[in-house]
Order: sequence, then C-alpha cells, then structure tokens
Amino acid sequence: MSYAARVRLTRWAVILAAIATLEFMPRLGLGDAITLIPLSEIVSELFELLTEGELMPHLLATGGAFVLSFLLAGVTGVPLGYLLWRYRPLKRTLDPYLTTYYAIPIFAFYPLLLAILGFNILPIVAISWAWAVVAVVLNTSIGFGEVPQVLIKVGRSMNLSRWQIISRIFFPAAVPYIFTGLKLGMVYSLIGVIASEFVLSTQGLGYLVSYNYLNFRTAAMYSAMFVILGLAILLNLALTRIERRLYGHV
Amino acid sequence: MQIEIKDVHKTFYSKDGEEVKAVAGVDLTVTDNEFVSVVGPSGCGKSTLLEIVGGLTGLTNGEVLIDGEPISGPHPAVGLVFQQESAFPWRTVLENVEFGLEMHGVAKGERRERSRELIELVGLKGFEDRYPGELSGGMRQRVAIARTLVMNPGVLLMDEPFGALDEQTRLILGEELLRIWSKTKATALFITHSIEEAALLSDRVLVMSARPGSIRKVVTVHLERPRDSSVVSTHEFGDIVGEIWKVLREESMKTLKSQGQI
Ligand SMILES: Nc1ncnc2c1ncn2[C@@H]1O[C@H](COP(=O)(O)OP(=O)(O)OP(=O)(O)O)[C@@H](O)[C@H]1O
Ligand SMILES: [Mg+2]
Repeated sequence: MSYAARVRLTRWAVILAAIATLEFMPRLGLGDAITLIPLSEIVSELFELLTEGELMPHLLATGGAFVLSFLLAGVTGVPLGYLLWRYRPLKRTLDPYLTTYYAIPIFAFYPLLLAILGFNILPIVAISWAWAVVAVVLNTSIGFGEVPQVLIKVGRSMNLSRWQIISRIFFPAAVPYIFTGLKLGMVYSLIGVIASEFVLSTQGLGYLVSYNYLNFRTAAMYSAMFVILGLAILLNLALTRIERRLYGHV
Repeated sequence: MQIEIKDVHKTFYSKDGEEVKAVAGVDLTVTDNEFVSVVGPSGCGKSTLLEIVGGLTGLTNGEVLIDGEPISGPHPAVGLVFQQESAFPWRTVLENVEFGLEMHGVAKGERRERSRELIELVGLKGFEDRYPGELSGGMRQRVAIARTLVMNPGVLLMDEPFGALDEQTRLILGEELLRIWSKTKATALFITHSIEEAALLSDRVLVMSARPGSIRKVVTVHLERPRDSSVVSTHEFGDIVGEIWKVLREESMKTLKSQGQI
C-alpha cells in the first residue's frame, strides 16, 4: 500500500473510532447520561431539527453575522495590511500593539459594546470583526514584505506601468499570504460570532448551544455543535477552492 | 544593436551612511550580434553592472548608450533574465511566457502563437499548462528565458541564468542557449561565474576585478561557430580557460582575503 493510501486509511480509522466511541461509551454506561449521549440519538435529533425548520433561523442569524464580520475584516484588513507594509513608521508604531493583540480577551468588553451599540447584531459583528481583522492585517503585511524583489524587477524591465506591476505582479505574488490571513480571519470571525451569541443574543447557533445546555436538552445541544463544526469545515473548503482558482496550484 | 558602457561607476550608500563601491569605472562596447560574457569574483558588482545597463539601477557616474542613445530607464528593446528565480508561480508556463505580450496589449491569438513557438524553442513543449512549482530548476529558468525572448529583444542581458544548476546541466543548457541565440540575432551580455560556460558561449570574455568591479582583462574566444559543448575537450578551449583562470584566481584571492576567509 502506498504511503498516501495508508495516511488516508488511518484518517478514516480515526473518524470511525471517534464515531464508535461516541456511540458506545454512553451505551456502556461510561460517562454520565446528561453530558454524553449516543451519537445515533444526536443524529436523529439533528435530522428532526433540520426537517422541522427549527434550526433555520439560527443558522441564518449566525451566517448573517459571520458573513458581515468576515467580509468587513477582509475589506478593511487587506488595505490596512498594505498600508502597514507600505509605511514603515506606521508599522513601527503599531508593532507592540499588534503583537500583543491576541493576548487581550476582547470578549470581556461585551458590556461596553452592548451599551454603545445596543442589543442587536451589531455588537456581535463588532467583536467578530475585531477578533478577525488583525490576523488579516498581519498576514497581509507580511505577505507584501515577502514578495521577491526580482518579480518586481521583471515588471520594471518590461516597462510596465506602476499599476500593472501592483495589480499583475505584486498582488498575485502576495495572494498565498493574504489567503492565510483570510482563512485565519474566517475561523476567528466564526469563533467570534458563536462565542458572542452565548451571551449577546437570543438567536444563532451559539445561542442554541448555550440554551439547550442550560435546559438539559443534550441531544439538541450536540446537534447545534455539529452544525457549527460542519459550517467551519465547509467554509474552509470553500476558501481553499477559491485560492486554488486564483493561484493555480502551488 | 550596440551597447556602450562608458566609465560607469556605482556607489551604494547604506542607511548608516557607509558607502559600498560596487562598480568603479567600467568601459565596454558590445557590438551588434556579439556575445560577451563577464566573469568575476563573487560580490564584485556583476549584477549591479547588468542592472545599470538594464535601466533598473541608476548610476553614480558615467553613461550607458544603447544604439548611441543614452538610457534613462529600462529600454524597450532590452530583455533581462535574472539571477534569482523569477518565473511567476501563479501562472502556467504558457501564461508566464505570454506575460509581457499580454501586458503590452498583444491580441490573444498572436501572443499564444508566439509564446508556443518560444516554448518549443526552449524545449518545454508539452509543459505549457504546468505551473513552475511542478518543474525542475533548469526548466523554470528556461521559462524565464522564454518569457524574455518572446518580446524579441535586440539586447539580451542575462545574469547567471544557470547559476543554481550543476555543471553538466549548465553546459547543456548553455549549448541550447547558443542555438536559440543564433536564431535571435540579439546582442548578448552574459554574466556567469563559470569559466567553462563563459568560454563556451562567448566571442569575448571579460574578467572583472574584486570589488569595486572594473575590467581586468579581455579574452577573445576564436573558437568557430556554431559550437557545441564538445569543444570543451579541445586544446584551444583549455588554453582559453587557463588564460581566464589566471586572472580570475588572483581577483578571487583578493576577495577572499579581504573577507578574511583565507
Ligand atoms: N541595493 C544595494 N544596496 C547596498 N549595497 C548593494 C546593493 N546591491 C548590491 N550591493 C553591494 O554591491 C556589491 C556588488 O553586488 P553585486 O550583486 O553586483 O555582486 P555580484 O558580482 O553580482 O555578486 P554575485 O557573484 O554573488 O552574484 C556587493 O558588495 C553588494 O553587497
Ligand atoms: Mg550577482
């Protein structure tokens, strides 16, 4: 068997083992019955929630807040990353803040945001954006710094305009880094939305998890978790696809 | 086309005000359809000289003329191949080769056709749709060469295009380069640190001094054209290599001594 085939087999084995553990541990009476229930019960609950349409509004709420905050993070983060790379003094000044940024638990500021923005989607979007944007900014500015000078020289030696060099050489060359930033930003803004919904909302998948948890609806809680998991995996796949499209394969 | 390099000097100033003299007084005329190589110890200013001729780096003193006209930036008829890898990783071989034509608004049909010709000429037929990441180092350099040649340059400046490759590959690609060059009728200025490569390719070989670079010696290569790499085993070739090495050895020693390596 080839190495790749063995890796693939092992991956499936891990998934199967996880499924088996989730299914049989509770059935064998390991773990308490409130926190751990058989997978099959979760799946049937998930199916019910989906078909009865109970999940849809929550999925839409989370999706909406996520799309908004992620787009905002991309639209603001990439240009900011460019500025940061372009103007060294700016980078110098901001560097200490940026490097310690993720040490600050932004979520702790939610009362403040509630007071300013009101009890609606805005504080959620604000927190998720803030959580995501810095990853985009940092990776973008690193990406522009990593563009090999020689590629720019190719453009100059061909007498290209400034704009051609920026749009046809500089940006594409930085794309892999920008996408690393966007992928991180995507994950962060999803985390931001879900975590905010625990406390800042009466809607959304995060709210669903915490609500079901507080009401001992364990199967429904796990269903919501699985939907979140599925969403994260799907989004990541989508972004990877887009990157391939843009960049060929590397 | 003709290149005239007249008393060219280049001094770099680092941030802390220190000056590095990279090129100090190079005089050289490369005549129409001539192939001239430059060899010299590492760091002696070869790339700097080439980029000055290519109009990418300003000079401190002196002037460069292409067909009698002083240059003040990249000349449209001058093509450059760089020392570092420069194929665009996000473009296929075909898209890489087309790049310059595309940017200058050549219609799709025409640029496809010209690019395919060049791809065949550099021996990459069948790899048009591959990405540089899927090719060997030698193939990637050929992509860069084709991307430059497709613009039909009258002057071809090459900076150690095969520098990262092993000696066998280098000689074989050098031979191919000769075949290609003989079809283009371009005036060629070629930089290398391989004496064999210089002797194999050139009409004249210039040996540069240790930094700051100036020309120490000019060796004329009278080997008949068309040549292929089998000349490497002839007596005349051995003599030429010996003549170049004598001067280059001295200059390389100077470089190493100044760096405290010997
Ligand atoms: N932009 C720059 N700023 C400051 N110093 C520079 C710059 N470019 C080159 N130099 C210096 O000028 C000298 C000549 O550099 P150059 O790259 O022309 O050498 P080279 O002969 O091409 O070397 P190699 O054989 O390693 O390619 C070196 O000492 C180098 O450090
Ligand atoms: Mg060099």
